[in-house]
Amino acid sequence: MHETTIPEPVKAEKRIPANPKEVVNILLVDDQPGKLLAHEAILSELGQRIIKARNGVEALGHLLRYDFAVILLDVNMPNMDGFETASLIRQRPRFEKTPIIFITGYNTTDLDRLKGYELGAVDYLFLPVVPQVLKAKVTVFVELARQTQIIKTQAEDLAAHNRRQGEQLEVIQKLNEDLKDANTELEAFSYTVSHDLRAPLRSITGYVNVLLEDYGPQLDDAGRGHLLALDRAAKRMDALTRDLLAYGRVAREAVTLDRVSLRPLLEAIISLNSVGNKHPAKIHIAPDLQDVWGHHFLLEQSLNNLIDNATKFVSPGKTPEIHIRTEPRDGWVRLWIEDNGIGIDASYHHKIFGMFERVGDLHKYDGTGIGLAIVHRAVQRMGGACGVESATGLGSRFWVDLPSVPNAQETKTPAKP
Amino acid sequence: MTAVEQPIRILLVEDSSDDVFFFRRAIQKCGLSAVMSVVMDGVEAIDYLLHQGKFGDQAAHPPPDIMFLDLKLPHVNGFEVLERMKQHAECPSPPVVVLTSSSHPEDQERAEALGALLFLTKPPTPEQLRQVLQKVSFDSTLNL
Repeated sequence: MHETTIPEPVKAEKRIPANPKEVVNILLVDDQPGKLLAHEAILSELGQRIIKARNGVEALGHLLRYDFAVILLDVNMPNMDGFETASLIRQRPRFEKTPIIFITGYNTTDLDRLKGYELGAVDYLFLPVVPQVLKAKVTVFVELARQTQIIKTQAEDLAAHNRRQGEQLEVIQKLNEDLKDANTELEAFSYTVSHDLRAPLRSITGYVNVLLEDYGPQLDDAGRGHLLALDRAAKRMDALTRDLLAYGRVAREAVTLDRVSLRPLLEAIISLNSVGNKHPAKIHIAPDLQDVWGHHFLLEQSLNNLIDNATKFVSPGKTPEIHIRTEPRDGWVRLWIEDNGIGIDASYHHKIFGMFERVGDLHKYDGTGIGLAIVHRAVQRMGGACGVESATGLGSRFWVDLPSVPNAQETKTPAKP
Repeated sequence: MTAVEQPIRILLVEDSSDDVFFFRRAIQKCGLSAVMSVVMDGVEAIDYLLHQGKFGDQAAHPPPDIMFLDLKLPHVNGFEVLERMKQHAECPSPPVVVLTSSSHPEDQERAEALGALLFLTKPPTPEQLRQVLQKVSFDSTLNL
């Protein structure tokens, strides 16, 4: 156990600290103790850790344990000279880049100097060493080592950051996949619901009609009344199912916004709604409707429900009259749908866009309580907002704010006549 | 207006006996004379058209003038029936009216892309059926 504790402090010293408050290692290699001491004395002013070696072998031993900012290597040593030592140092990939300053005592020939540079010397110092020159040169390498370490740390941080980001991306992709699966399942589920759940309801209303047609005359008013109640209940459940499905689809429909012309959309909705209406509503569409930046299906759902409400919630005997217009609002288009209906008390305005909220006297009228929730969700999904201005007996003015068509699009896509 | 003497031969592909009942009733009320054959799933529909299996007797199971096809069927659904009809060159392809319980626009587009003539939400009214059958019989009179 005690052996494993030894490498700990060594490990800590190995790296070159980036922080100037921490010391770095400087290796002095010289066979003459006097010179070692003299150089150590000069460099001690730098406040760094100085490690000394008496020969090449000792130097290599230190290199196994520490990283050095710079190595000062005496050329003229017995057995293994400075050049040999340098060449051995350079063989280790870890020290390929460690700066080596050769210290040479005699008049070095140019050839010798070239040999030194080939072995990776970065500089030469000549004996006797001038203390200022030694200090200045070593200081440069101490700083260089720190800078290198800073860059290395940053690169490591960046790599770690990238790795983390990659991992996060994977997690997000996985979640996306899961979500897609869930959506597909939900899609299949709602498809099944819309077919299978509504089929029996259709049968109920179908048989009620058969009974009324074939056996109606044999029933008294009460009997026929019960059949009509049965029919209403089945139709109401059908409407609820349909609206819940619409809400579900509005909530998860993939939304990409595009230019939408309101007039053709409104006309299609109105012509569909008016089928079988005993008291057709008077609907006035302003001639200068602005295009909006929206989603066709979501807009269709919103407007259909708003127009349906406007025609539905009207005092008995009164002809519904609806005005539809737009007004520009600084990057937005406000669409108004104003009716002459029963109106909504101000105290309910905050509630009506919620799910299953049916307020005031609405129990007298048909409605699932989902319509305005669909409007709210659909508008929200297009990045817009909606609201109402109304008072009991004074009609309702519903508004929907949607982004106006971006300028670039306006020039690209010519407005349809 | 040409009077239609021959009854129109209808093949109804529908698995719900309730819906078969309502369909038959609407046909009876539409004011045109029609003969109806009913099969309960997609496999039988293809067998009928190709005179295969229990529909081998052509005289007993004459080729229909028009086919009403429910989309949601056991085994082989309505879309697959349309696909198979397209794949089999030898398969007689009467005009197909798709019947569905919900008006999913995607369903409608898909059925039309597969060659369906019309798309009706269930239950079809006698008036709707009268219009469709009149058109088919008028077209076939022209062909004769």
